[in-house]
Amino acid sequence: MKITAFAILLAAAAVPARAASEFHAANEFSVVNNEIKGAGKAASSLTEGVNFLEVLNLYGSGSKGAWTYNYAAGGKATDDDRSDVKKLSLTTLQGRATNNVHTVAVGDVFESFSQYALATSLKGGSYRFARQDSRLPEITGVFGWAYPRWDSVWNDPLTRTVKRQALGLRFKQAVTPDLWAAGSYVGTKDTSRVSAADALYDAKTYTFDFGYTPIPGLTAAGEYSTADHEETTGGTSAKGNAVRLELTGDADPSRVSLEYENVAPDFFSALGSATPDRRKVKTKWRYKYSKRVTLTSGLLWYRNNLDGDTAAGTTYNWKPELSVAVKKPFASRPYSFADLAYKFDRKYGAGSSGADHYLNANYRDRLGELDSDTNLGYTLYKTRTDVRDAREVNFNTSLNSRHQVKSVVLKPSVNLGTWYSKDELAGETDKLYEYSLGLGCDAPDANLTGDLRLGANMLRKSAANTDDSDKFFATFAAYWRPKLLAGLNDSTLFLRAGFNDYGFTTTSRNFREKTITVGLNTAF
Amino acid sequence: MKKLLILTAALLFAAGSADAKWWIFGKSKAEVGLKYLHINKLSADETGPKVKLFREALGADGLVRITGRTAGGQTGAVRITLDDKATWTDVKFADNGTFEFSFKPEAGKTYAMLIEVTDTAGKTNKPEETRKEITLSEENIQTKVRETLDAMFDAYNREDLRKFLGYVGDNFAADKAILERAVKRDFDALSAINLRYTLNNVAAGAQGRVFVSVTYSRMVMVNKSGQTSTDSGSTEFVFDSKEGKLSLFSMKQPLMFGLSDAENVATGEVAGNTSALVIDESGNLGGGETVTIDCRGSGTVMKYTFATGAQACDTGGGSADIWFYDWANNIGYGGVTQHKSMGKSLATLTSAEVKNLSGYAAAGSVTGISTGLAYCFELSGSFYCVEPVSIPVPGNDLAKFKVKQF
Repeated sequence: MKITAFAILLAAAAVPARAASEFHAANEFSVVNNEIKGAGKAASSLTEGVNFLEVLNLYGSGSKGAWTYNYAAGGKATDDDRSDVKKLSLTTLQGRATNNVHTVAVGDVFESFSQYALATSLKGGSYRFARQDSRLPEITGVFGWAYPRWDSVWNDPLTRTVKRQALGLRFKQAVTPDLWAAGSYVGTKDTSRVSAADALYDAKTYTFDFGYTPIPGLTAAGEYSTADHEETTGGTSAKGNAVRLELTGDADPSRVSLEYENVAPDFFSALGSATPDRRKVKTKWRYKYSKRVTLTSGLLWYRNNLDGDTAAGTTYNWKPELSVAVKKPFASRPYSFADLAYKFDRKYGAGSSGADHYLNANYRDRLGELDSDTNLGYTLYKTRTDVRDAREVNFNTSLNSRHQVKSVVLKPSVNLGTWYSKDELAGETDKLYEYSLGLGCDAPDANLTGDLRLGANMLRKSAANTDDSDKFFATFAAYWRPKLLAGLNDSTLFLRAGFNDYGFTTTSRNFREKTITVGLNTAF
Repeated sequence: MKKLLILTAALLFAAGSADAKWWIFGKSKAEVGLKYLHINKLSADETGPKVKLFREALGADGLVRITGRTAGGQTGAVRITLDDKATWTDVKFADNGTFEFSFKPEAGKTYAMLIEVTDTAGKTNKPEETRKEITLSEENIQTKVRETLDAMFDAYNREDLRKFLGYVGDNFAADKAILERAVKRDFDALSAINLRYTLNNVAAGAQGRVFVSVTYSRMVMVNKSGQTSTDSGSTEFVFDSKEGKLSLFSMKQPLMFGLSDAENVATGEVAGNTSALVIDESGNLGGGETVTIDCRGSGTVMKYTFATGAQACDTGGGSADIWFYDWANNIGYGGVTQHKSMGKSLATLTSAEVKNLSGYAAAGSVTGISTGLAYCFELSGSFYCVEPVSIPVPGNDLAKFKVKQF
């Protein structure tokens, strides 16, 4: 029934036009062969054997009378459970039509009302009224189901989820040329529990949001939302509200932002984005001290247990940070760039007490033909409750180059890295060494690009009864646009191959993966 | 709260009547110019010099809408050029200085847009300051989503924090600073990360936002234990589309990135997933497995045995390691089992804390249990901790809790 309704609505919205219409299609078909060997092969995340993946997308647009429309449809087919549990699935179905006043959309509709109210996609339909040259408010209505995928709509046993039906309405009014305000309602009702423990909500959210530009460069935005929900599994009901306010001043040489947020523990927005039980204050100031030097500072503070009901108590967080970025720190080096950052994390309360320090230095430069990027980081994890006391150092450097040999461009690269961790509580040390070599290749005359990379990671652990491990890897990818397929716009044959060899002190954990993917990508 | 709102309102009112840019620290007063400029509802202040738009982000009419408001003296004229000053078009404007201009772009073509404002005294703004290169991408939004996710997954697999953060929006819903520190902790805790995905659903919508649902498969090596771990499932992202680039706005559980602070990074949960990797405060895999014992209609006591995972419904305690009652806020336990209430969540527990036998009490009942707190049990040298998620009550004989062996 739902499928029929969608098909009718989509067909109505996407009637083929007699003129000024266009149609595009993109298709990618690939076959992958994975080979996994070794006693520890169960740890692999690859599916052994030959599998395929087919992805098709269709797009079109046109006009009919005063109406213009566009539509999109897409599907996926695979026999690899790790690519998708469904062998054949619909990925996109959408149609939109407008006459510049009335806009109708069906299928995948994503009417993003505001952060707390509606920030997720629905399978359904929407209508918007917006007359550009009048004082009438912009009105949006949306109805549908918040399923993560189309297969869930028709209750496919493999992808069945709780049925969350949603209805939303939003009025947005330009109060003055610099101020707009909007009110919205979103109601959701869950049915069709999949497992006994699934929570079923009946929720309503009323939200007010606004945007204001009082003077050039200064913007204010805010939102207040109140939510009321009942949860039938646990037989609970609650009300809560959320508020956020952001002020941003942006004009050279400074950008300053202030944010405040307060989300009650019982605030539940079924289709919005919010972290319940959090009061947050954040400031950030970016200051261009000179053409070469930019300073950035910030402070984030937040806490939970706003109603004081959490048995574990309240957790407080302070996260200040300071960084300085310098272009050309050495005047004689035109491409040099340095960045130094310090971040601090203080967390305490509810049985925790930690103070972590993060220090990072980055330097980039061009040394003759070589572009270099070097990073050195130091982290100190410190807790009074003996959860994590550790000193960690990481170092990475990469060298990249570009050479043209006739019409072929070669891009060799080298990466070296190490990570050292001293666990003060356990008295143990972990060390990780890694390197990789790469060679990229562009041959525009032959419509060919390729990339070869190989390297290794080695983890060395001092703790007894833990394994050291080595991973050797090699990857190769080539993309070719043959002239044979010139009739099809932007068509590419590709080959991707990979090899991973995992070795552990406990040799029964060892395994190797070989993977080869060949495919054809076509678009017109 | 009221004080804060009053203070904010006063601040905004004062700002509205001010003519000095107080936050510029000494910069000059505004002259003839633009108070604001939006390109398809996207503030020009938020874009760089190049604005790349996607077909799916335009309205069904395929038009790019330029809206703005002049600042300075009485507006005399507003002109726009889309070809870098070669030709100019007069733009209608209202008495209050607001104006709107629309055009239908061709895919792949670049429009060098500048806006010139002239007041009635003949004074003009500096059009170069409004210059934007607008392009309608030939890519469809799915191609862009794949390009962005490929780059994010690659940066995460390679543990390149700077590159990864380049794909996270400053307005990330759960806060970018929280995600940054969580990902940094992920990189310290994990190595040999291998994340892969396929797209399930992509929907572009209002405000340039893009909704993405994926099926994922992942393998990681946990540095602390030296063990590998895999999981798979489906999850969702929302991206903002700015300057032709997608930037992450929000993520749901199960998380792909920021596993070290999952509670604060995720804003929502995708239904239908049974488990997901999370990293606890010690840098180890944590969080525990969630267990649900449904005795609705078949008993008032919910029993659980740790080693086998066996569940049972009954009307009295015994014959299991632990049990929940629907008539009391207690966990019962018996035999050789000992118990200790930890006063903190399961994710924050360390092995040393759990295995410290001081404070363990002999068989009886754990009374006054709460959600969010861990209760540990010792059974002949084996240690298990549980954290109630929902506590059974009469008429709803359903116990849901996390359990983890130490």
